[in-house]
Amino acid sequence: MPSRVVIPRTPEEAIERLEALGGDAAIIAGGTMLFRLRNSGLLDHVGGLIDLSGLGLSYVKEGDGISIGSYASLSDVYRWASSSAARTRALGALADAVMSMPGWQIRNMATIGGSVSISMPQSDVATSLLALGARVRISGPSGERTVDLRDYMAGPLSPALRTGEFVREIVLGHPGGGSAHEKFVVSDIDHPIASASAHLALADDGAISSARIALGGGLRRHVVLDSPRVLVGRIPDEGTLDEVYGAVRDSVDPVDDFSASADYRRHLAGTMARRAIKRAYTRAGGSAI
Amino acid sequence: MRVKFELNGSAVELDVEPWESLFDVLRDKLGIRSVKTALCEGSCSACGACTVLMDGRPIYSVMTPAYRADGRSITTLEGLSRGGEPHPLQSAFVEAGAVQCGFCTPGMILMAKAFLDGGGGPDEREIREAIRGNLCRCTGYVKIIDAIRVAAEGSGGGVQ
Repeated sequence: MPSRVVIPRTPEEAIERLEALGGDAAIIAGGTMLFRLRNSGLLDHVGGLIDLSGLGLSYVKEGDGISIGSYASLSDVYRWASSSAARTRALGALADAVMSMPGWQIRNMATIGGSVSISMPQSDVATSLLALGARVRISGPSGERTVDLRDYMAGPLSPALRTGEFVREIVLGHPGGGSAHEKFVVSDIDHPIASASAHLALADDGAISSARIALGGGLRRHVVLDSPRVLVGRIPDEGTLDEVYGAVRDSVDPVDDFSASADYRRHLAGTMARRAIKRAYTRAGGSAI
Repeated sequence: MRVKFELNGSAVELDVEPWESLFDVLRDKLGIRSVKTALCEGSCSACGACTVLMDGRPIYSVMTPAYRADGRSITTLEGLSRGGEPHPLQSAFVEAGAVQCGFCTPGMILMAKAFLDGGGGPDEREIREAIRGNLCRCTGYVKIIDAIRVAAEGSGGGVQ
């Protein structure tokens, strides 16, 4: 159990404190995961909490690209992502993912940095960010580095952070186009059995010029399909969606447990991908499939 | 660590441990009985019984480190009435018969307050979304939604 909390006021101080504590440090952002696990035994080794709330990382900035401070709450991210028509289309997957979680209480607490740092395919927000091609900007003892989100999310509760490092921001290009997130859950509070986010950009004639599908939920690991051949260059119809369904089914490695069999999860992954593409295509400006 | 915050309009100052939740401090050290836990063992079921407002924003107090209250304003149900008079939302819940066992009521009323203070209106779909993080196992929600709608209609959007 941690005997102390440090709330650094500068990135340098955060790095120094993280280095000093080494493996005994736990980084706390929104706290929704850490406080849930506090009696689980998983955190018994934690000697000190390094709290990211004092670093001014609650911003969302749009310049060359979009930068979201790691401490930005999901409710603030949602409000920003739905504050213009262009954002609602391009970042629809992110807004869908936030709103698919029950309740403003959680959205007010959970942060975007925490959502990716739990590094689990069950996270709807992480799945949507994978489809949007997010990168993670990390600060640490040897300066800053930026890694692809899929490399950052290395395994459950084990993001690819080295000693002394913390996540500073999530970086998106200017995604443009349209995106959507879909999931299947048994009840509001459960982890999704299957989830899919899709981002599409279209050429003038309505053909898909770029596509990315991210699959999450009850999988052993996230799957990202970059520019799948079944989509790029095509004006999608029901036949295209059938092909996507098949490609997705074959690409995932689902868990098999009491809530759903692996085969059923494969079916749902394909179905969620179909639905996400359908909505993303309309949001990108295409006519309804 | 030493924290100071405003609780229902009064200043409080006390020592908290790093792993202590705001819920533990409110209920066990400050005697706030309206905050409750229900389905928290091992995980959170988003039941909303522990809801409090931190600087006006609803949060779950069981998942909030107590030290995060430092310098903030915390509102619980106990802080809503003025001069012995119930808050309009409290009156609306009574009039609509929106209380059965009462366990969820404090969280529901605080969430409704945040909704109305944020400009929420009487639209049923919006009210349902506003209380999505609060479970009621008695009423079926109909009378709770009625109560919030009545309060919204009476307040013109903002309930003080």
